[in-house]
Amino acid sequence: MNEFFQIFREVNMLKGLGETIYMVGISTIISYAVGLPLGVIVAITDQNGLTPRSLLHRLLGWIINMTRSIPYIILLVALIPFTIFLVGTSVGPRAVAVSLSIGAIPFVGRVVESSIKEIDRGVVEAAICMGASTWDIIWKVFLVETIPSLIRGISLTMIMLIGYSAMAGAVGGGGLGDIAIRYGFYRFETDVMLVTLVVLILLVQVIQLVFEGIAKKINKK
Amino acid sequence: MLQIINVSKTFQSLDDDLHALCSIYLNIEEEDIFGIIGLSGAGKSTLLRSIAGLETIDQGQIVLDNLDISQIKNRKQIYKNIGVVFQGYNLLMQRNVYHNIAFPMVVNHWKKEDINRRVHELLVMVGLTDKIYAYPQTLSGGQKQRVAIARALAINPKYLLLDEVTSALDPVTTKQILSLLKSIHDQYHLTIVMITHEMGLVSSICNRVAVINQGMIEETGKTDDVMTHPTSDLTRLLLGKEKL
Repeated sequence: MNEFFQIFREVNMLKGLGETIYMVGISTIISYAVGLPLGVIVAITDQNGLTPRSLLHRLLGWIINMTRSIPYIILLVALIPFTIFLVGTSVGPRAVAVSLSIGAIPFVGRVVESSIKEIDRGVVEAAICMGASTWDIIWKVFLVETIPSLIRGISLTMIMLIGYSAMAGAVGGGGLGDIAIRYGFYRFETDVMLVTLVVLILLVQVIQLVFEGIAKKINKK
Repeated sequence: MLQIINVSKTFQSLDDDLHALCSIYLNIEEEDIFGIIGLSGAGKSTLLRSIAGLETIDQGQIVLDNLDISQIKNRKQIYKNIGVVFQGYNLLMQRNVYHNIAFPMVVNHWKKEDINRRVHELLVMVGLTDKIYAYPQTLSGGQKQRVAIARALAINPKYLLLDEVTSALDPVTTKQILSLLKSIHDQYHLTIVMITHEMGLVSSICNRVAVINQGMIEETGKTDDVMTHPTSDLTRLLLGKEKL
């Protein structure tokens, strides 16, 4: 245990952990800010949705599928010019947050869309019969009824982003991935690699427990 | 008055078109408790959903107080006159009883104090004052249906559409719900249209009835007349006077 903390201090893993949390936190917020409305639009423009718009639905679906099919490490490299344009650099946690956000937006969009599609059609029909507008249904039915699954979606997104951020370590992205690559891969320091792994596993477990707990607490079904 | 004039509806499919409603004519007078009875797949739910605007019709008119509502796209004003109660309750599962009943008033921009007063009135009416902060998951089927009825009555509609509202309930709870509906009808002078496949329900609450079969009205009239002198085989079957 003492050895664990010694390595933790020696390689400044707290800084790496902080950078990972920063990257993942910022990207989760941005991906939800964009992915939530995107998922709602995809859901309501579906053939059986509130306001069917076949062309828009197919176009958005195609963009989501296309973005999701690009491996993250390729997306990260492909977005370098855009990242430099946006934040002035292509390295470090701030730069990685750009590609992480863009990589996670379509995932969040799909999480939101599938959560909305799980709502009983009868509940939406009842709302329509009470005079609810499309806007009312989005705010007062969709977003209220899907809160537990959206919260579970946050943990899924964060865990996926932790994996992505570790990949970004390979190209100077900072965070725990950077430590694992530098010490574990380039210097063959297996003990540092193992400590990094343990920290990553603990981080994932904490996120899973916290968000699952919140979702369970607020789920009234 | 609610008039169904020459209403037809066909569901298109690749295999075979389904003629759910074929030239339906019905006159539902004010303060009627009008039963629409038929076997499964007869078209009764399609008819009710068409009145509620949840299905578009291919032909005909649905006239509510001299206004053809079948072609109106923005139905917000119409829904102020119509309350609908569904078989599956269709309550918001993440909101408590208070917020479920308040929902139609919130979307119709009522003031908070008016919503509060009305919700309490309705809870007294349906006998659920002690469940105001309960969530639907914790309620029995009968209690959920009471919440759904209270919600449908929230903005004082003139017409109440009931889609098989007791079919998921036990006989005792069914009796309680029917008694509640009767007292609501008498107190608020509502016009009620009730879809069912049980003749017992029609005889216990409806003053007029229409028997629907394969999308067509087989017979219609005062409940007592239809019960005592049925003219169609289906009515006799539903009354248990004819074997399958």
